Amino acid sequence: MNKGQSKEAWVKRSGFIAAMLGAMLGTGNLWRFPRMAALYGGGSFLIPYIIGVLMISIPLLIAEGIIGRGSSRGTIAGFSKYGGKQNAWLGAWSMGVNWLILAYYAVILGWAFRYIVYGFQGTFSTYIPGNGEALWSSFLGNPLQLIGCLAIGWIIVTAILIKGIKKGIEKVSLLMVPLLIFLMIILAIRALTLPGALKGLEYFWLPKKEFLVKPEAWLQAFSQSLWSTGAGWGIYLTYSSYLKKDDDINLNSSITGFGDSSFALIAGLCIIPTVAALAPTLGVSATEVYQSGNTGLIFIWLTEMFSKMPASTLIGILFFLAFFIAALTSMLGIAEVVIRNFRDLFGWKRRKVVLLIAGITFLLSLPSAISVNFLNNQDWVWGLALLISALMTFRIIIKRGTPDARKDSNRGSDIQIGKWWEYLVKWVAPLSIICVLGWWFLQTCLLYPKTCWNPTEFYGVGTILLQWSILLLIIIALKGKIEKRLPIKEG
Amino acid sequence: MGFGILVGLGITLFVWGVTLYLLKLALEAEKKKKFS
Repeated sequence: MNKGQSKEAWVKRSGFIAAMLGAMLGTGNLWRFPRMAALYGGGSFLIPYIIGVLMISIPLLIAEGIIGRGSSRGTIAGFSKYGGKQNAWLGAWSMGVNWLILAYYAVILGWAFRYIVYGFQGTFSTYIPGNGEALWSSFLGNPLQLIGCLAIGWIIVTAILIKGIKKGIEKVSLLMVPLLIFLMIILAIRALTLPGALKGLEYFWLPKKEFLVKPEAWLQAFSQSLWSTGAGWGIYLTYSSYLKKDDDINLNSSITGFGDSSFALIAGLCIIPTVAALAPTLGVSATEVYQSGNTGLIFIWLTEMFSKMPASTLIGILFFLAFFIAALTSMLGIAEVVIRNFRDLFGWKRRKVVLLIAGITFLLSLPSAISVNFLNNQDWVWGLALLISALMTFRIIIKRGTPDARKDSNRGSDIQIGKWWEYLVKWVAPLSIICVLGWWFLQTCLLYPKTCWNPTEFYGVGTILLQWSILLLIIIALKGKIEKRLPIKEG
Repeated sequence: MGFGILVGLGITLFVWGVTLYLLKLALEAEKKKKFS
């Protein structure tokens, strides 16, 4: 077997779909989508969100599928095969971004684990008003506990990843994804049967016309569709590299995009009616709850709300179990982007690569575990870097030639894509992403005009430019060494 | 609650319906492949 040659493959198509959905149904569906939908016009938010999924995310997932299935490699060798050796560094950027996201995502998995334990300890049922914030603050103020939870999360993830695609990721996803969806349906039914929940439905579904003409709402919806469906991350590319040459791309990509959106809507039906029904009993408005941010919504306010429900302990455990599964299966996908590239380049055994990556990333996770401000900074910096990764994927597919790429995609696929896909990946989707990226920068400068360019500030353009430049410099330094290892010959 | 709510309800049912339809297509294709 040649260097980097991998025998691993998905056993069943349903296993591939479950793994893809597992990777995409993440914490963003639970803590960001409902907040954004509630803050940006309810039904009015859903319209641009779905347009974003159809016009940007699904075409981009198809593009990733073409590169992954066609090259049977990760982002670096895949980009090199379709875009030439000189473009391999774009794949290294994609891998680097996923690696840095993995570092702080692991911390969130640890938080979810601790809150399941709080549930079993009966903490939510003994809450008095204000306990949500107190518990969260005391948890964040205990570094040993945070690092312990982080370590437990890493042990679980490493154990699954070591088992490989077939016995690890596929098996776990086939079990966990249906369980996650089932849990969220149960929680949504519970939320919808609360007194006052109908107000939440109105909040979620009724379009507020003013938001339809508000550029901010459109840009938030497009950003959410990209982050949530995982388009452009490189995960779909990596998972597709374990497909056979005549396996489907188009239908699987569409299932991933629509499946992720379906789950986000279930999460909306779980969170928004709960907040509408129970926020008034806590003396806060629903808007205040949503404006408290991702962690504020989940770890402070929702826990307070669970305490007001009958069977609060059970509800709390089920919710944080769902949150944990969402984070876990997403982490597997993000980690696999890094693992696949290392195996491609060095030809090492999976066990060695997994242990090495897990060890290094655990150390990289520590600053985020200790400081929530650092974690938020990393989320801000590398979340936006994913938009650059998406643009790089378009560049590679355009270099390949969109007519040929479309032929590649239609070969073996159960549904065929037309010429419209070529227009979307050449013009509509990349231009939309450039607008979204430019808007994020502009909005930040308008919000923080004095500190925006200061690289030591946690939120700003300066910190982004500094950290992106560091990653870029590392990649440039390693560019020659990476190119020397390419192309990786087929066995 | 006005008729406006039908917009959100419609989008939700559309997305769920398309997802289930696509999943059905994939499962049928998987079965066909197995028996061909």
